[in-house]
Amino acid sequence: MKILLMLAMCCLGFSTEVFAFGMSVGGFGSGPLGGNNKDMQRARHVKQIYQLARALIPISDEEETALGRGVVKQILTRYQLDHNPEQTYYLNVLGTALAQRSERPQLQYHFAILATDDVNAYAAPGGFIFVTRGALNMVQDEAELAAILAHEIAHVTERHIVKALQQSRLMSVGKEAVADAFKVPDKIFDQMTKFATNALFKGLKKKDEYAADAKGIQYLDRLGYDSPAMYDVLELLDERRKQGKTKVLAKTHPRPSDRLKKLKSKSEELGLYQPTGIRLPERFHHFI
Amino acid sequence: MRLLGILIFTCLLPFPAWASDQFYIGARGGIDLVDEPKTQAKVITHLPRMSDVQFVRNQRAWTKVRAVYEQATVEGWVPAGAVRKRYNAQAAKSASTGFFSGFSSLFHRDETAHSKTAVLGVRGFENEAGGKTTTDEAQQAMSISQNAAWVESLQVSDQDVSAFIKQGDLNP
Repeated sequence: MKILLMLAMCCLGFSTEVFAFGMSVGGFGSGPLGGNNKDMQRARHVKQIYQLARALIPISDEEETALGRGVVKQILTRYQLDHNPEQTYYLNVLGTALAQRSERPQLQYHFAILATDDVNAYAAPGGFIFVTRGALNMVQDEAELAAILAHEIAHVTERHIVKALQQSRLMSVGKEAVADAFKVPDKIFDQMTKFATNALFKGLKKKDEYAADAKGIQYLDRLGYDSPAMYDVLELLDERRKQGKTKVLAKTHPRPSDRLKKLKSKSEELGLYQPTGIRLPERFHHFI
Repeated sequence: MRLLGILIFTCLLPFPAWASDQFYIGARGGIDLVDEPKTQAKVITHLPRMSDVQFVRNQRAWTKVRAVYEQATVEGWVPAGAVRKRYNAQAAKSASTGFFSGFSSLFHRDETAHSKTAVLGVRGFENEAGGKTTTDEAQQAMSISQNAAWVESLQVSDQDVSAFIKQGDLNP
């Protein structure tokens, strides 16, 4: 049983974390626990296996993009776009340069500006990234803007929303129903879009935000930007938070000071603090 | 005489830091000029958006500026993001080459003309109303689906990305 489960999980490309869980599952039915405790443990394991089984339903890049399109429409019901051509171009060329250094360069990324003074940014599945006018006004140079974009790109490359969806109850409809929903958008597709939009507006898991910071600083580093720019953005956000100017962001993200602390510790661990000095304030002010 | 010389030198010392660049308040609705780089600091005056300021120095998330208030020059602090540098078109034009100079043209177009040049590199702009306005009538008239399609049309070429990287002296 244990070997079979481990083999199955290997074939399905599970992470080591899940694989380790597989090993623990293999042990159920044995051990010192008895009676009710044993039953409860078994029930918990069954529930975990069920959750894992739901996670098996794959979502391809194309399906993710289709989901992203649905989320974009939801975003656009809440916000108006800012069509400034020069600034949108700048955002796209900068964002694409960063995305080409990411783990998912094959995706087609799109970057747009939301006409709101709120300081925020959103990343919909499939590579649709939005930055608010408030965020553009907050940052002071290109490296800081790159830091914001890199954080959002990291949400896409790490598939944070997609993973949350894969672990949701929605996936219990089964692989075929999910695949069909992507082919011909139906009620299930609408529910998935709603789920992804909620995840975006209500906030992802804290650990996902920390992970996006850590990945984002790597993208900055790979492209040659002054990676401490990511620290500066978090400090700016902290200032704005204290001034009560990041109400939406504050609800959906961990405190910037906590993010900074985590990021600094992670950067030290990975040797990511690379002050190259490339901040490009002139080019930034040229466009923004 | 010597003292006077030192005094004049001291006064001029910070001058080159901001004299060549012009700064203004870019925050929407303007911003309060405060006496210390703190959120709870005393407000000296309110600086309206687009008002000229002289940059003195940055300190973390705050910028020290000089501004004219009641015909006198006052110094104080504003949140760093509120200060914007005016784009010096002439300087950028003379300093830039290749990609950047290509973009300079975007900013020196005839204001009365439709911003055809602004569509360089981004598919989809051709059908949009150009210009600097943020929420123009054309945008409001567009349905959500059209806007979503516009977002999806925003793509840049590999050549543009390469030129951008090269111009910024970033890692190729």
